[in-house]
Amino acid sequence: MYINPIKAKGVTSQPKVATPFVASAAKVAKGIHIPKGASKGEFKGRMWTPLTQAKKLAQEIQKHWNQWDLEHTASQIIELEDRVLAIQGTSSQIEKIKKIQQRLHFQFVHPGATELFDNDREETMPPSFLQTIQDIMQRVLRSHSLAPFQELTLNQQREVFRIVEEGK
Amino acid sequence: MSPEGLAHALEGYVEALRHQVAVAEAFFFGRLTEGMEGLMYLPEDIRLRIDQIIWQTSGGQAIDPTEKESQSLIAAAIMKSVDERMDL
Repeated sequence: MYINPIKAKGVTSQPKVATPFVASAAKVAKGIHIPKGASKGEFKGRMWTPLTQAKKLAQEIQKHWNQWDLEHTASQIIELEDRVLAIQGTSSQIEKIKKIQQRLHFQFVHPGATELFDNDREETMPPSFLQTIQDIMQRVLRSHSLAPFQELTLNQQREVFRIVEEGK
Repeated sequence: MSPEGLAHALEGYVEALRHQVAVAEAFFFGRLTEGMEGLMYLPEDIRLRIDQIIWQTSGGQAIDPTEKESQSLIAAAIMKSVDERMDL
């Protein structure tokens, strides 16, 4: 048995002809309105604006951590959390800002944690734990002597010996 | 011990404490698997000390780590131990 090709009745098909390039470009351009004075670079970055804004806010919080009062810092951390939640998609940059946001939130609740990450404190403030350890480390290496180590408390020295023992 | 060895140990001291903070953070934000795994890498006496702090804080009552309140309690206990290890 032979089946004829299916044909729509009363339809006369026309072969498709590619629109000339210039015509289609003009058609597309009609629908896009670029504001005067806007550069191409601005549009390139627009897609990442929520991420960029979150990054900027995180930097601001870190920069003013020791200057802002607690209430303001808390409100900024909440703002950062909202901005991070608004970011769509997944990328290493997004994961990074999420981690930073969580770290800042955690450090606000448990300020002791800042002692281990804060190596950019103002001179008017006492050095952080991290700065103290780094200072002793540098002096030990520079003087080629173990004497600066004695400046640590007995408990701190015990903790350092624990690391030495674990490494054996 | 050589000065280089001591410097390396000092670096390790900070790293060990940072690891402990990361474990506390994992519990705080409810990332239980990460938190439990991180706990396993802590020295035994530190784990015992954390248990003791939790025991004292909860008044000897058993806690359920899947509850938000317990997660905050565990994180706080781990951080108390960090403070003790920093001895500030």
